[in-house]
Amino acid sequence: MSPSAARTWLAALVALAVFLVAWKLVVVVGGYPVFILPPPETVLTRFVGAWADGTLERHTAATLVEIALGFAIGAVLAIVVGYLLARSRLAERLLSPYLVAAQATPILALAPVLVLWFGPGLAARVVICALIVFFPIAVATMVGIRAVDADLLELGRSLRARPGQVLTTLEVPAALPSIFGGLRVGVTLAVVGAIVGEWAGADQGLGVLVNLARGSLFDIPLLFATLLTIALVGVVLYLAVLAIERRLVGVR
Amino acid sequence: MSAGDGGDGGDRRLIDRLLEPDALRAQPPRVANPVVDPDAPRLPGHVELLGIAKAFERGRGPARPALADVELVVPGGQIVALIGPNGSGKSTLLRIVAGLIRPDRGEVRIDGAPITRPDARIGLVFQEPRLLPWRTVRGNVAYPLELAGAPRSVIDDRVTELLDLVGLDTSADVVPSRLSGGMRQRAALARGLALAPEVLLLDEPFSALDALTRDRFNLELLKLWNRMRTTIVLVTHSIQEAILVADRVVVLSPGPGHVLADLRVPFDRPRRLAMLDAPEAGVLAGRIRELLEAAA
Repeated sequence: MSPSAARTWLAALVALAVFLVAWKLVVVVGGYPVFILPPPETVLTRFVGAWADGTLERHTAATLVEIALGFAIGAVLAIVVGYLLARSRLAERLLSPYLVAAQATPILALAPVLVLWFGPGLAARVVICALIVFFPIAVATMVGIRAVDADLLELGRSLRARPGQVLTTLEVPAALPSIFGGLRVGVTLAVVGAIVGEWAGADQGLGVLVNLARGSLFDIPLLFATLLTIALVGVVLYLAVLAIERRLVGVR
Repeated sequence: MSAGDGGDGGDRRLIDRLLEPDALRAQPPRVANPVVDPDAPRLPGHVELLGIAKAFERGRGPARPALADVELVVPGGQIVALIGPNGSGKSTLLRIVAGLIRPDRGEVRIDGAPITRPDARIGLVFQEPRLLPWRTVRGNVAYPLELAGAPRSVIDDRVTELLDLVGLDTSADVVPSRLSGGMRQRAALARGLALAPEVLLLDEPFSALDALTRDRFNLELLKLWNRMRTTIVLVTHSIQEAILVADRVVVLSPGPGHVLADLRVPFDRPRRLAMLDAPEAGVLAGRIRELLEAAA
C-alpha cells in the first residue's frame, strides 16, 4: 500500500470512529431508551446476530435479486432510449414529456399502482426498480452521445466506418464516462426502488424487515441493523459499478 | 447503403494488398519528377480536380462560396503543396478530395474513377491528431485496419511495421494523453498510412509543432515518401514548408478559392534544409509571398 493510500484508509477509520463515538455520546448524554435510539454496540451485536441466524441473509438476498433484475432491465432500456433521444429530434420531442412526467411523479405514489398491475410478486418490484433507475441513465446516455466529438465522427466517416462500427467503436466508448455517471446514480436509486417496492407489498426483503422490526417484532436494534445493511448494500453496489467503470473506461 | 455496392469486394482487395510483403517497401522506380514529362505513363494515385465549386449555406443569408472552379492535376507520386490565405477553402478542397464533402459542381477523379465518398486509396491526416483517447497508440494505428475488417494477424504485423516506420515502436502501448504533440501527430500519420493509400492528404499536419520540430518532421515525411511514393497533397500556411516538401506549390486565392498560380519547386530529391537557403528558394518564396499579398 502506498503512503497516500494508507493515509486515506487511516482518515476513513478515524472518521468512522468519530461517528461511532458521537452516536454513543448522543445516546448517553440524551439518555435515550433503546426503542428510540439504541447505542452503536447494541446495533452491532444485533447486526452480527441477525446475519448469524440467517434473518438478514434471507431478506438481503431477496432485495438483491430485485435490484439486480430491475437495474439490469432499467439500465439496458435507458441506454437504448438515451441513444435514440440523442440521435433523433423526433424521438426526443415525442418521448421526453412522458419521461419527465414519469420521473416527476414520486415513486412512492406510483408503487401501489404498479403492485396493483403486476401483482404482489417479484415482477412489480423489478418494474419499480427499473423505473427509478431509468431516468438518470437515459439522460446521462443522451448527454454523452450528444457530446461525442464531431471530429472523431468525421474521422470515422473518412475511414468508411459502417453505422454499427460508428456505434461500437466511436459513440459508445466516447460516451462511456457519461453513461457510467448515470449508472452510478442509478445503482443507488435501485436500492431505494427495491425498498419502496417491498413496502408496497412483499413478504421478503430488507424493506419488509424494516416494517417487521418496527411493527410486529418491535425489535428496534434489528431495525437499525437492517438500515445498516441497506446502506452497506448501496455502498457495495456503488463501488462495484465504480470498479467496472475503472476497468472499462481506463486511463484516457 | 455503402456496404452493398462492392464495399466488401473492395475490402477484400484491400486486405490482399496489405498482405503483400512489400506493402510498405519501396515501390518500383518512378520518374524523378513527373511534372516535367507530361507524356510520362500515369502512375497510381493520379488525382484530377475538375472544375470544383462549393458554397456553404449560412442560416438564411445567401450561400457563402468557398471554392470557385478549382482545376488541378496531381500526377501519381507527386507532392503538391496547397497554400493560401485563411478562408481560401484549402481544407474544404482537401475534404472534397477525401470524399467527405460533395462539391456543388465539378468532379474529383483518382486514377480516372470519380470519388463520391471516402475511399481506401486515400489516407487523410488532420490538422489535429484526432486520436481516440481510449485506445493506445497501437490501437489507434490499428483502427482503420479493424474497420476494414482485416484479420488480426495482418493488423498486428502491419501496425508493428507502421509504428517502426514513424518511430513510435517504443510508445506502442501508451495512451495518446501521455504523448507529446509531435508523437501524437506521428501516430496520426501512421494511422493515415495504415491502409497503404495511393494518395495521402495532409491538412496542415505539423502546424501545431514548433519550427525546428516541424522541419525535422517534414524531412521525415519525405523519407517516408521515398519508401512509398504515394501522391501527397499538403495543405499548409508555411511558404518554407511548401518549398521544402513539394514538387509544386499551388497558390489559392482568398475565398472563393481558385488556383492563382501553379509553381514548380526547382529542387531535386532528396531535399535538404540547406536548399531553403539557395537563391532559387528565395526567389520562389518571394513570388509566393507576392501572390498572397496581392490577393489579400
